[in-house]
Amino acid sequence: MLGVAFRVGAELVAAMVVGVGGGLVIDRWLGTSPWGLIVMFVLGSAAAMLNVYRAVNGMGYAVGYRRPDTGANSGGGTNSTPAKDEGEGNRGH
Amino acid sequence: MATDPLHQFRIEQIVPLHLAGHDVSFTNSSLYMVVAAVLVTGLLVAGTASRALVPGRLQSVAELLYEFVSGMVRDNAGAQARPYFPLVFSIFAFVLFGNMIGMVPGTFTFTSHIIVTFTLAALVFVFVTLVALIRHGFHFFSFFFPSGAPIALAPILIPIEIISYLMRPVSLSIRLFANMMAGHTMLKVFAGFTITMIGALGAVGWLAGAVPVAINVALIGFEIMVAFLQAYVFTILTCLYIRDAIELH
Repeated sequence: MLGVAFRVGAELVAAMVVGVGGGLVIDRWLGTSPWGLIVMFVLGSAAAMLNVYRAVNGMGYAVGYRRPDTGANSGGGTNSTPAKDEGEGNRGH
Repeated sequence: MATDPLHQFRIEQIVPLHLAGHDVSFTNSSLYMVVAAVLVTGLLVAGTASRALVPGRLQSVAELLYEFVSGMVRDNAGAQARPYFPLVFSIFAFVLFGNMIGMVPGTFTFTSHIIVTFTLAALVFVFVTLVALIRHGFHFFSFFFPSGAPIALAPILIPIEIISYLMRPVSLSIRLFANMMAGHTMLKVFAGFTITMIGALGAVGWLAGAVPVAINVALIGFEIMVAFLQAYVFTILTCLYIRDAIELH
């Protein structure tokens, strides 16, 4: 259980790091302070929520993860793997 | 007595080196990285030297390690990911040995430094992106727009997907480094309690000081599990990213 919680935490922190860091870099580069920071902060928060949703939903760690509708063979393996890993995390912590 | 719980993370220069204005000294961190690499190489070389049909102890360990990572790559990254097995194996062995060497008292845990884990994660990230670009070319960029979403949402969805793609190395490195650093700090804090109690309470302190020691015994077992688990999670995520790069959904 703690494993899942920790993953969600890491996901949130990472999104903030990328969002705010990216915003500051854009501001410095284009001189658009503070708009880059504001826009990237909001987008980063959205990305964080999206990734937390994906992680908790067992949809895998992947960004832009889509349920494979073609190729049923790989599809089975694809869907079962993240769930298995989730179980590993639960047992772990 | 050093009771500063963060003292264990200090980088100390062993051989000061400067190259073109950059500090490239050989530090205790580098030393333990070399130790980890030498141990992994030694284990595999010594383990495979005899090539016995009925494996000895060392050969069993080497085969176990190989088969474990091999199964992980096959199950999580798919059959096509076979060429990338050496990379995944190296990452797993390096992180695992780094974590485990850190569990020996008095050693330095190089995976508790974010710059080390971030370098590893960045390596994975750049590698996976290159694999995807080489395999799929321009089609790779379709990755950033979920299929079936209304096209009107593209201005919002694409930046979000790009951010969550760029997040990968950050969350990968933060997870490993934070787990290792938190665990090692916790061990030191509890050990520090004992020293403080003995210093402050005398004879009663020796008795009371045994409690944090008992907790530390349990925590060390827990930490060894975390050390393995974090190496496992790091590798599993590498496998999943490689699968993404190969299949691109």
